[in-house]
Amino acid sequence: MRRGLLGLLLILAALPALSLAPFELGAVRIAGVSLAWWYGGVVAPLLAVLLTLACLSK
Amino acid sequence: MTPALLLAVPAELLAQGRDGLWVALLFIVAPLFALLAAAGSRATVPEAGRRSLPLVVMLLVVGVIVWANLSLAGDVATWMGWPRWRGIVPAAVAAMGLVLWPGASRHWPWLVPPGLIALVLPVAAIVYFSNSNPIATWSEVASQPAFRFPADSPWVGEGRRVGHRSGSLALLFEEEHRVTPVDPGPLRVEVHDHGRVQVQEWTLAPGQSVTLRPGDRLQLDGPRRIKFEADKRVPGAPVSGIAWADSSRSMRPRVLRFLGLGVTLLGGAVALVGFAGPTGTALTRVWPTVLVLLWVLASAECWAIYAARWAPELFLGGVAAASLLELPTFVLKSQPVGPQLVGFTLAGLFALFLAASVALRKQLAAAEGQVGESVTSDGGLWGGVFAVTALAALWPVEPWSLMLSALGLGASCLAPLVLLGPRTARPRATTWALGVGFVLFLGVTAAGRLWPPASPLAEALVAYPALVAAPVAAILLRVAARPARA
Repeated sequence: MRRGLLGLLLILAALPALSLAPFELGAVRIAGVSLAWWYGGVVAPLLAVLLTLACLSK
Repeated sequence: MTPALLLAVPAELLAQGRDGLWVALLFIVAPLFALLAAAGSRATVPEAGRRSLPLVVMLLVVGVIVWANLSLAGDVATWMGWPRWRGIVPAAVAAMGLVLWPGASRHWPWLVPPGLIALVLPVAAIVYFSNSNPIATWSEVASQPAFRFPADSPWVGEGRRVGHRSGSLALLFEEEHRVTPVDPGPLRVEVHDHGRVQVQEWTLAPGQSVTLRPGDRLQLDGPRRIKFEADKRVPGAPVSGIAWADSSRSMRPRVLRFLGLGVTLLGGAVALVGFAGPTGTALTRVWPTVLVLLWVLASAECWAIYAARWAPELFLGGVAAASLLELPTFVLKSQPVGPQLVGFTLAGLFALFLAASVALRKQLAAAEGQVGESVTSDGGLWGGVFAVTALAALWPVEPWSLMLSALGLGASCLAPLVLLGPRTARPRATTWALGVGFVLFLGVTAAGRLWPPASPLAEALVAYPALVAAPVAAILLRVAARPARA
């Protein structure tokens, strides 16, 4: 479970890290939407759910 | 999943744009984090929970959450043009009746599916009738040069109330703008003239207007009906669509805010989920929960994006959670279903509030170790909780700040206990550690009210007292784990 908790914290930390990344990485557009919005709104929630389910299924 | 939290996500996304994504992400990660934390600390906490201080803290956390939701009910009533009590009293009476009904503990889950459907249905209708998918709508918002009043806005036509609570409000104008107060009374404006600031006050006859220049601030002492000019910038809105979508402000001052919100929401979730003892972590029970979380998060994101595109007026005077409910009428102006969808949303929120009230009672009962006992044992307590919080909710307080207080208190006292486990060899040390967390949380909160913070660090600590209280309580618990000297 500790690894799962750490994984969730890393998924969270990646969002502010995108804002600190050089060259305005978070503002790069992918399919019309910025990387920060893709990550914070879609990718990170899905990753968090998958990680939790994987940890609980062990 | 209480209405005060459900509406806070789209409200924060709309108000803060990219920064609001942090709250949205925490909304889904915090309960998952709490599930994993509770699964890893089985069977140790409830025993410690039977001590009086943790139970008192849990009761306070639950009470403030009920208060936040009743305050939201009052805000909704105000938004509908009613006095606050017309929203608070029916909600409190219905929730109290359900909580005290002996069959509620078996039947309350039936309220959740219709509540969620009623909440999400309007978003689906907005996406369908607006002929624009969320990605295209986000791109449209991000490319807008400014957020301007549409010509058919109710704030342009007949004029509407600005500000939803008592208390002063200042609207900063960034371009020349003619405003017409609809209600009688003096109009106070802070005028900036060649670096000098003057406060001017006019009393206008009905229909008269005043033209404000860039940099002027209109000061309102409470909600007031005002007419604005079409196609002018909405005061209080972000400078442009790109500023909303990709805020380029310096990150450093915001790191502390992010950290404070993170500790508060993660710790609060751990306290609420984990303190009551072992939770069901069977995949068959967890799957529906995570799917619902994803579903609600997607709806909240759509709600914020479509509000930024179709209802920029909601930025006026600060985004209020209750005003977001009106979004279907803004987007579906030519469709007759708009008001019905608002009704659906309200019904959904009401059902979820009822379900959340019973769930909170169950959590508290589980923490006390009285699951399955008759509700008569805590009936008086719950009657008191609803009576006190309903009275408190008559005074308008931001529901989201109440939710943050409740979760922050849980994070400061109960989360360290769940994550580190109670010190069974030194039970008094455990109580001391939690007591210090409790006192620090209240102390920092009170200090922030008495002495307004001057630096960004102090501001973040006052806004999120769990940033101080939770680590101190955790360190004390760690120290208490050392074996006592003979």
